[in-house]
Amino acid sequence: MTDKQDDFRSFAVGAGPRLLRLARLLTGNWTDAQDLVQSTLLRCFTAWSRIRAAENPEAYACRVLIRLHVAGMRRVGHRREQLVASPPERPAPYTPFEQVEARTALEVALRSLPPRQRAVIVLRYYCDLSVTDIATTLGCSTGTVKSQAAKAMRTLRAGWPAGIL
Amino acid sequence: MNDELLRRELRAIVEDSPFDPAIIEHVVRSGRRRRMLYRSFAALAAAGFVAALAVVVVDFGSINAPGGPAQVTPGASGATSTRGAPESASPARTHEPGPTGPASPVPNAVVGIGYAFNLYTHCGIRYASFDSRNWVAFQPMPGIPDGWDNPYQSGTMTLVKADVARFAGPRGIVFNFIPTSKTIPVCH
Repeated sequence: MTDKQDDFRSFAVGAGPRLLRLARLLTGNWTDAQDLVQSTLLRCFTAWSRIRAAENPEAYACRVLIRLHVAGMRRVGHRREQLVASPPERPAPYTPFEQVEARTALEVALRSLPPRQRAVIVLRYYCDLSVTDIATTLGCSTGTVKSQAAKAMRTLRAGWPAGIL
Repeated sequence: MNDELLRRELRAIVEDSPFDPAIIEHVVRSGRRRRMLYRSFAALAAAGFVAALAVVVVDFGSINAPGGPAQVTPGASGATSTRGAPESASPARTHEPGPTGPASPVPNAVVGIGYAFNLYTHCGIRYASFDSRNWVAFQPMPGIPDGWDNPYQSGTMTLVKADVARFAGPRGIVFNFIPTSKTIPVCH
């Protein structure tokens, strides 16, 4: 039992930051991202005997995370606004203004996407997965992935400053 | 379409990952609790299942246990032999009687419920043993109604009132029985 827990701990330490980045892109803020990662790790912990025997436990965890996110968004609805005590995102001081503006616009456009489209964009352009791998991760067909990607890109193009995408 | 720019911007958004390793200990603790909870539920469900199974087995055993008084009935050669309750019944909803032989007895019949019942017809329609009591036909019939089987006819016996039982056989033929304190005579 302790061996398994230590094994899980070392996995979580290694994969946690990467899962958190992925969750951040999916949820749009670090707070929800941390909650999502915690739920994902909890799922992984309860099934750790099976997961650690898998070829790539982190890929499994990514799948769990994305599916939890999509299912969670379905449950709570598409939250476009969130009240926070302080501005959650601050640009780095050295970042040029135009770049900050473009990045903020991208975030806003990304947040406006439905959860599945957002997952497709993140998996395609952040995780660099192939269409087939994305389809496997999301549990849908490659045709669905392509159509969702095309729709998402249209939305992103409309949301970003002209000429960037 | 500048895919590279999109990739770069997405990476830039999540450049600093404020991952707190303390979350892992929290997950492990919660996971242990959840696992114990699952195991408790599983143990509880298993215990419930075993208890339910035991009740069903005991119940089934009591239904199939030989009940009712033994009755003297004629053998094939005319000689008498002792059998366990040739006319016996079980609830029609759960048991269908065999076409030629006795079914499970019902020690305590409930008024208004039809029980599958095999009526002994070999010496006409006269007597029946039902509800741990002996019954005599209100209007006995020396022979066997047309289309009925010999020596048993399957049908439905209903306790219409506390002291009236009604046997309904095929072709809509019905016989009413009343309780008797007499021993059912041997069929010659």
